Amino acid sequence: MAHHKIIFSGPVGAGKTTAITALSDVPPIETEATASDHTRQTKDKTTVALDYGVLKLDGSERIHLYGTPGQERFDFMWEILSEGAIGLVLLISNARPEPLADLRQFLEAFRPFIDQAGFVLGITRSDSHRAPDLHTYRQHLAQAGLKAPVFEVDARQRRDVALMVEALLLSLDPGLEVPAALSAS
Amino acid sequence: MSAQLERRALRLAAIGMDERQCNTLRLMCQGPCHNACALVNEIEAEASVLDMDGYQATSRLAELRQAYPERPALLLSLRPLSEELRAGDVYVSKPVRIEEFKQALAELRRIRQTAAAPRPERIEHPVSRNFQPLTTPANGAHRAARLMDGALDHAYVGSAPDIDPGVPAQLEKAYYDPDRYLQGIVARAREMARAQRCNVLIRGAWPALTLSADATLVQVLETDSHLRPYCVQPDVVGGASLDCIDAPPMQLGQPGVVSLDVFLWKLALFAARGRLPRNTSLDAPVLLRHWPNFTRLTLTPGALNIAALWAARPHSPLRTAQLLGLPQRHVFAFYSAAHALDLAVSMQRSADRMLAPETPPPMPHQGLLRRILGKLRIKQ
Repeated sequence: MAHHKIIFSGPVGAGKTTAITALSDVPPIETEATASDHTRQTKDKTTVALDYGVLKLDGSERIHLYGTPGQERFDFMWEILSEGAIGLVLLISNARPEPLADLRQFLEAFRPFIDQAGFVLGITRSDSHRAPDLHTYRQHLAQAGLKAPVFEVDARQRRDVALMVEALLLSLDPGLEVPAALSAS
Repeated sequence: MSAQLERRALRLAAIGMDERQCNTLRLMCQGPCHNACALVNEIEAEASVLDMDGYQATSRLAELRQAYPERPALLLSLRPLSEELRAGDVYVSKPVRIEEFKQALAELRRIRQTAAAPRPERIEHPVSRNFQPLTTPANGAHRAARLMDGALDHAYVGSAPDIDPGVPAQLEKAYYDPDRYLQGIVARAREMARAQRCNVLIRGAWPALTLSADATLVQVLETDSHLRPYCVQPDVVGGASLDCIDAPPMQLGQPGVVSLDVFLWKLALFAARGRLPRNTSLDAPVLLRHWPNFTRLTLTPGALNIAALWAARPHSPLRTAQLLGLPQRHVFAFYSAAHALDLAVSMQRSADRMLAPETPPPMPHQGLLRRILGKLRIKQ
């Protein structure tokens, strides 16, 4: 059976584990441990390997949801994980000190993957930290030559996370649900 | 057929009713009527229920009859309705009594059964039946997706049928003038706040609105149902005033403070009701500057598909409806809302069209993507 997967990435505290938990059909496997480095300033626990959840489709088909660890020292895993994936859900937290620097770093790391797969950007904690606003994020993406969906999300809300993934899928094929009409054009 | 219909709940669409009225109807169906009826969305309904004392109820009824000619309606009104207005539909006077309501349900079932009875000419000539091509899968996931959207609400996309652009009378119905609606006033206030960097107080026939100096927030001390009549009615803007005022900084979380984008998006949907802003070409491609922030905006039917299509490559409103198999009003509604937020623009100049990005290559996993999409929507 084909191994289909969607990657959730972003810096520490962006909400990757929470988003996968919101979407997964099974209790996600989390590899969180007590933070011992500078991460501790952000959260008590952090993902040290990867998070894993599953979206069960009809029959026995599964979509694997992988959350990358946020720390840069694990960035060697990002490329391995993203190989063959359908797309990338990138989460950036407005509560972190330099969200736009985070965005640049992850865009750079995932750029080859983004160029050949789906991509959606979710901004978390924007209710309590208004800046940067969506316009600024859109401008940054435009400067990078990307016109991707950018949404404010609450990673705890399944609807928000599902909407991100829907937008990612429709970016790949806007005619989903109506394949005959679009493919004929 | 009759026994089957009797056993299950009659699916009712409450048209033009606010949440409180819907809840009352729901309770009536579940309690005194012993689940003889259930509220569903407009598409899935077998019958409609209208409060004829509501705003523009008569025109809504006319639109409904045009959109669903075989669907009976239950008309609730304080005053007796003329035979001409009833036109074969079922009337119940308000306040609604349980027994009368039950009888009305039975009458709606009877009308449905009559309409559902096989007609000899259709059996003899099945190929002549005027079926629309099935362009969207009528599976559970699809229906659930539409329910999730909450977007079938007549209030947001109207119920007008597709127009023939070659017929001037129909063409005229496809347009509205935002400047004649509250939408236009709020858009002007936004420009004023941006230009003068001040809080702007909007006064008029409606409850007062205040825009923040950075034009990102608005204070609205009324609910949607109270404000909506002012949003859908043209020419309420006469005598409106916009004034710069001194006010403390506005913040989300304060009473009545919401995102201006969220508010203006909804105002545009209310005013447009499935129409396009005047002077928008039906044939010129639409450029989507940015994806709307869909997690915070009212999601209209097909909005995600339309945004994805336009983000990939501009298409005209008419062509978009055709490609995606959507009613034109869904495309028009989305364009009107996105245009109100400066997210979409009609590329009526040839120079604009040169900016059109290339169409991305087709994706190899279409079947898989569709199954994931169905899964995401059915669970919501």
